[in-house]
Amino acid sequence: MTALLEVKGLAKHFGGLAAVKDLSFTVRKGQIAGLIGPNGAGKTTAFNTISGALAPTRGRVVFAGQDITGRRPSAIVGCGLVRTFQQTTTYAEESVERNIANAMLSRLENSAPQRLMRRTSHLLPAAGVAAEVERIIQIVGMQHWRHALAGTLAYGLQKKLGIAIALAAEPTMLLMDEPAAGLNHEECNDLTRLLRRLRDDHGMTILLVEHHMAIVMEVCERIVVLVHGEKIAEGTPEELRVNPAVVEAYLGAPDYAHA
Amino acid sequence: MTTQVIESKLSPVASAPAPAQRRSPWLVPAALAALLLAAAPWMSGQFVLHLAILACINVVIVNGLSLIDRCGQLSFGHSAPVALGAYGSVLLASGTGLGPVVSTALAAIGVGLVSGLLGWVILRLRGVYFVLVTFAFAELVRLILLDAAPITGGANGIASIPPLQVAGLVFDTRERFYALALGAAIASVLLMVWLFRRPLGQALNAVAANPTLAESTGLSVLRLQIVGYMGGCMLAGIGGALTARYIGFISPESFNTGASVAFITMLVIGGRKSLYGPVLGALVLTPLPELFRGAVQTQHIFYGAALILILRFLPGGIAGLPRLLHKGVAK
Amino acid sequence: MDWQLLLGQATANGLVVGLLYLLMAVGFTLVFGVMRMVNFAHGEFYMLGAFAAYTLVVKLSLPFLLAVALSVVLAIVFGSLVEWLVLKPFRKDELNGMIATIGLAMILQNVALLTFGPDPVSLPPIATGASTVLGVTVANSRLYVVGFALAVLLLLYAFLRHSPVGRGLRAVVEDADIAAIHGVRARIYYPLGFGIGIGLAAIAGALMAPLFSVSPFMGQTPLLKAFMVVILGGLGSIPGAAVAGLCLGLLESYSTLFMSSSTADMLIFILVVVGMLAFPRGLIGRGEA
Repeated sequence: MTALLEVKGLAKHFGGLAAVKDLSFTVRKGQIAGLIGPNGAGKTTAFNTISGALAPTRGRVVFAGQDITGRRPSAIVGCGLVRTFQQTTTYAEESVERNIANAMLSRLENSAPQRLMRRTSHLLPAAGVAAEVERIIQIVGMQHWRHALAGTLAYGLQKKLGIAIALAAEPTMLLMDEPAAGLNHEECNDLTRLLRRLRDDHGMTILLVEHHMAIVMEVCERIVVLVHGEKIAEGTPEELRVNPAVVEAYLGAPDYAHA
Repeated sequence: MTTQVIESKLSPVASAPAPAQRRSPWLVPAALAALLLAAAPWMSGQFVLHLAILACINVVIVNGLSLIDRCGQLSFGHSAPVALGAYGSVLLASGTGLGPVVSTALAAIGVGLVSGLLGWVILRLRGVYFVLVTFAFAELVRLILLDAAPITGGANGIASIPPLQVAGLVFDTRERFYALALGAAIASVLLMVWLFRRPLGQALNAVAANPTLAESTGLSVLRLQIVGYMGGCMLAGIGGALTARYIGFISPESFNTGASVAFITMLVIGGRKSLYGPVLGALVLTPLPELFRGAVQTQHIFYGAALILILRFLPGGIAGLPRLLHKGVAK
Repeated sequence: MDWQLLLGQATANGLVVGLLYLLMAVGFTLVFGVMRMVNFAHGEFYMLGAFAAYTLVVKLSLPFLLAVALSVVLAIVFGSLVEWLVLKPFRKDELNGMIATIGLAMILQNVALLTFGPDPVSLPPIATGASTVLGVTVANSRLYVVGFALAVLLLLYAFLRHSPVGRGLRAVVEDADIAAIHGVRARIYYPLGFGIGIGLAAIAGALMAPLFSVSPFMGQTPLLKAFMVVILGGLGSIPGAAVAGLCLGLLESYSTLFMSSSTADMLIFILVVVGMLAFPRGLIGRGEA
């Protein structure tokens, strides 16, 4: 399997504080990988640096062979790397369908947004938008809410919509920022099933940044553990479960284990 | 599956109106009223024509401001592109002998380029800073116009601007100019309606509604806002050129902060959310000075109070009234 | 060309103007810091301060210092009332708050026009003659103004640093939510912050009234300068506003030695925009990006 995302020597400093120090890892195509660590470990900073929201102080991010270090988020999306948000964020006053359609605007063939963004991958003709929106609604299972206004949806559904919006940008790889945050037990199971579906049926590569240990252990094939901005371990869930450094720093904490 | 069914039964959820909308019963009467209103000035004498022309020019300019606003940034210095369009078209025409139409077009393009460059720099800024900078820039433009007296006539401005002439047709009467102004106003409204149905307009809406989300779906907020800003400034520039050709006189004082404030007032009172807000705002506020019959100060006090009251009690502006009444009636 | 003399004069002028900008800008940034409101009416409060001083000195024959003190008190009270009655609904609403203050500015300026008429008036000079300070000849009236201004600034500094109310105000400016957790009642600090903020503008107006002429239109330029200063100094940063205010005053003064005022204005504008891009948090780096 080929490496899709390569993070090499990534570092991010804020003034005197080194939030991320010399982080390196790889995510293979078709893998679901996880990035975990206690609060303040630098996960979010690493995430934002990879997704283009922040420019790294040092290091490189290579995606599908292209160096995307420091590029603006909208440009990185065109390469196929799309992120979701930890907090629900939608176009609150638009319908679910419209929310998803908005995410496809840069893919519309011969449209001004497409030309402005100079997007060349996964273009859609205008006539194909409705079908594509429907396809994504089916993937995430939001058929009952397609006309609902995004701002009126329950929290769990808004998070699902966030995933749908990300899918609409036709990613090769999803960067997900705490997708399980705030979800109840049933919604977490739903999420796990969705992630597996995305990988198995749609060939999606996924990197999760997560707190929710149960989900990470269950669904990720490979996990990177970050503590105080440094990688202290990397491996399969089984390997990490018995890794003393990880157990001491992180897994031991009882409040992270959800039923 | 079960959870979803239960959820949909338990949480009543607001729906967007179904695609096939029932035509509002007000549509036809409103259209007729608009038609009558548009035709009325030709039958009502010079004074009404004068007001109507000014109102139409304001519609064009405020539509420009609305376009900028719909990108998620509000310009507090909209008088600047108006001034640049006015002075630009007049100076180009007198300096190069190019016809008024060509020089207006060139001036509009010039305004577009200048605002594109300015926008590229200042649209990166957070909303509040953007506001301050546009305000400062408008003052700067006014000061430059005042100071570059050899070219711009300084405080005395430029007088005796020849009327617009297109293919032999001279727009030197109010009746004729009103036709032109009305056409420009309608065109600007149609442009906005057309634009916001297209992907570009939808992208602008997305960027304004949730810039972080838009950026994460592959839309560059900066690039889209620059496009919107350029378009809005070009509309303003065209309005400025029309003003110059109608009034026949321009000076830096015609484009001071009072003008910028007037445009914002028209947009806000008309309604920022509605595509017809600029029209309503311009229609209501342009003739207002006449009600006050020269008591300029009282008039401005009224503007200020109206602005605050509308912001407080009617945030949707006049255009928001129908919905408010509808809600009130429904109760 | 006696460059030393010119330079000295320019420095003196620059400092006087810089102090004016400082007072305006600190007040402006205080209002923004406390209420997140860009106060477009700030220049009008400057103007009202000047007219208050004028009325008290010329119509009621009060001594200048007393007139200034009274003007400030009146301004703070008036400002707090205005905030409480008119601006309260817009407290957390940045954009609409801005537009509301535009409405407020229109009302204030035109009420002044109706009351005082459009023609400029002037106050009698507060001191005659000139003194030589560090080799530079400065009019005594200007020296007095600088003296008063410095006194005000010292009072402000002491208030913000050492009084519980002042510290509470600073806390609200830094982080309103955390301040609330610590028991700082933001509801009181909104009118107070606004009152003090515009009070500073009124002081500036009252102090400068004898030096320049007083008219209902005099608030426009100081408003613009306040904008430039807070852009440079960082919105919400009081030290930033202070430093940038003085720098702007000096910069303007020096540049008029070499070029026309509008060219100077243009260059300063470009400088401000460049500065803003290079230092989004302001020159000192404590404002908001």
